[in-house]
Amino acid sequence: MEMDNQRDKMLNAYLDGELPASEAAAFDQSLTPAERKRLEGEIAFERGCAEALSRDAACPDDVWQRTLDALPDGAAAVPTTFPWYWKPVAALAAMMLVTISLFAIRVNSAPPEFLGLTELNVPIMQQTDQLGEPTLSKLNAFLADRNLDVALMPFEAGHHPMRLIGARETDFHDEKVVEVLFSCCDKPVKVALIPQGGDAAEAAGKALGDTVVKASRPVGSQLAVMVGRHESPKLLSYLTDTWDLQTSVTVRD
Amino acid sequence: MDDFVALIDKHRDEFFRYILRTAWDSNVAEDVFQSAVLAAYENYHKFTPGTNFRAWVYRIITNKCFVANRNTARTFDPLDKIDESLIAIGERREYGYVLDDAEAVIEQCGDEMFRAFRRLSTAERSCIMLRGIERFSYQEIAEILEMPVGTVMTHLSRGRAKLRHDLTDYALESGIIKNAPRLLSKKTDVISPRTEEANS
Repeated sequence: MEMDNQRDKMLNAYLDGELPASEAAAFDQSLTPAERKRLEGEIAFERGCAEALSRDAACPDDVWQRTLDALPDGAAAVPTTFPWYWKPVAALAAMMLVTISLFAIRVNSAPPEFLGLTELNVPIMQQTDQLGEPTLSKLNAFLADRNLDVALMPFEAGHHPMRLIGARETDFHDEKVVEVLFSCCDKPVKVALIPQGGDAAEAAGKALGDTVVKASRPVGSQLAVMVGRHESPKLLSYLTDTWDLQTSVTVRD
Repeated sequence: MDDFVALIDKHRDEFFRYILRTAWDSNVAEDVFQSAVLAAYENYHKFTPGTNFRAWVYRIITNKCFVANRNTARTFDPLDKIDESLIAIGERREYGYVLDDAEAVIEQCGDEMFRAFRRLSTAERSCIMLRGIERFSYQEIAEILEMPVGTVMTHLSRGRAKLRHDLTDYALESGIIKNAPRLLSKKTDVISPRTEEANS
């Protein structure tokens, strides 16, 4: 079975979840049984390569220390690792410290709620008393009522089935944060809309790359931050800072 | 700048891993890492809080790798150049043996995996690392590497195909793939005939 360049690129994009929903559906329909079998093997091949390339490649502690030492004075004032011979002692001391002060540490360093996981059955989100039955137009009106220059565009059906669940407004350090909850492939994914340049944005910047804080993107005057365990690569692209609700574009709810 | 150090520390293993696998010469990884961290530190005031710090640093790191690779005087491909002379890498029947138990085959290939990876172009390695391991989207990779998304897709598909090609050859040569036909010659690209029994 010969696969030309274009089909190979399509297969890779499909494997990576990068095809637009309509193209992914069409490509999926076009796969032969042999190609589907190959796809399973490709996934395993990618996994094997990733595991091999990830192995034995951590930054050595001495390299990290030399890098800190090379930074201008002041930047290295916060040593974040101990010399190698301190590790056993440091590990034991750290365990004791964590055990004794765990509650206080958790309270003081817990991520803000808008950067935490929200399950699909959270009553206030599901109740949607601020939206009634959640619809796209109601969500956009909800955002406009709060003077947010952000709107959500209709989802394309197919590859990542997405559904709007609800929205709510919360406070963080005197800043208003709007959380919009989605179900993507039946998993909860949240987009937090936070004012750019403030404390909430700073907290989001620090949390990026954590297990649940997946991505962020400026939209209008807001920063849209995606939170969840499931990867929804297209979700943030459905947010726009220009949306004319008076146009003839049909709003699909 | 405590925040900067804390942020780098949080991701230092992945940054270092990316350099180790992307640079032609792994011996320069430490130098490239230090140079990249220093450059990031000096430009930290230009970083917009709340945006993707990882992607921002990866852009700096990639540029440092590019410079390091150029300095090693190896033949390299500018990041946005596509080798038009490459023919389409069609699927080889022997590749079916690899796919039957891909992870085990790769495991048995051992260090050949890294040698095969190093034979890829800088762009191909960057794309595979950023997508396959660091899980950036195509759009994010395009922004990091400052190339069109279509070019990212091409580098990914070609890089992965080359890896498959090389590892399949090695698996055949070393007997990892059993009951396979005789070795495919890289120079002639002649595919030896196979029996239907071997094909099933």
